[in-house]
Amino acid sequence: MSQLVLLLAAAALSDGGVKFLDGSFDDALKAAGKAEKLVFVDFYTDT
Amino acid sequence: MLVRETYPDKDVAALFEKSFIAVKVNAGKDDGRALAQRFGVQGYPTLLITDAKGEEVDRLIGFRPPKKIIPELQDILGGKSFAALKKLVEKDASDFKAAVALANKLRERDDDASAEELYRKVSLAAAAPAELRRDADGELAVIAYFKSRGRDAGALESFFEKHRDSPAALTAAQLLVGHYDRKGEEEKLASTVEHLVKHSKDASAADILNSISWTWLEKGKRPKLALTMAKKAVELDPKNAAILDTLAVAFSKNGLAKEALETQRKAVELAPESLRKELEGRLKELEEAAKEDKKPSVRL
Repeated sequence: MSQLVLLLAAAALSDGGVKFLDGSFDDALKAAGKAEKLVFVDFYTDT
Repeated sequence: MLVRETYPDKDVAALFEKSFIAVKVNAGKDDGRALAQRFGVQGYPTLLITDAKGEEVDRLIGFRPPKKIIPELQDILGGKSFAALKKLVEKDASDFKAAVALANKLRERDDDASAEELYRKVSLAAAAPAELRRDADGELAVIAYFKSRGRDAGALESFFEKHRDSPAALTAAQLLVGHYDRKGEEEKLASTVEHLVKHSKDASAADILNSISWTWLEKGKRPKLALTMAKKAVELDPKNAAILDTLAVAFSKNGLAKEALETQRKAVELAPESLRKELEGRLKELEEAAKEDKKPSVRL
């Protein structure tokens, strides 16, 4: 299994419909490069 | 709100599945803080879109419901991103459509000075289509109003009077309603509300009508006008539980108990999980008041 597939397999359905990658921004860039997609970053804070 | 309302939506999920790798970054933690600083993130949530090299393509600041985020992301994917518009405007100063679209995005980023410069160029360009010049003039009037910290509505009023039959006049009318409300100018307020109700045509206008109506109901102000606005909001977005809830309260405040109950029952039926409890509570209050055979009175 490639690293990309592993990364995508680790994606969590934590927010219902949209699948968020369980990884860092750099992981997302790599996945986006291979999948020819854009990266969507939800910056949030706990407070 | 994004987590409860936007990300679970199936159409949003389908768009993400097709076009985005989504990742969450906690800007309060070490790596996340550094990344947020790198991109100059200042408010939360900030939704940043980059290419696979990490170059920013666009950003959306603040909450977006599904019906708003989907067209915005589709525009970004369709070549109308901030980065793409910037390139278009740099390449061709006579691309007035791109200039107005870019200025709109700059305003969202709170860069009113750069936006104003672009709107001004379009406004003064004889070669620009009349519709775009009008839109630019409308935005300039809005910026002037905010620059005066809501004290001087002169530019807004002139724009509204000059273009009152165009869709561009609606934003001015919405701001003028707030302005006349604060100044207690009831006659102007009533005629501007009448205009808004007559000319508002889409669901985004429904949110604004709903918001003004709810604010007045909460403050116990202008129940008749609040009812008129709530009715129009429901006409524009008939399955929106929050808007039906406002209409029910507006009926109640106008002594129309039966209509209030019917409307609130419908609101509860259509309510998303996050709203249901609150709306059920209000329904209970309306039912109890109706049983006691007195003018319904709900707490907001």
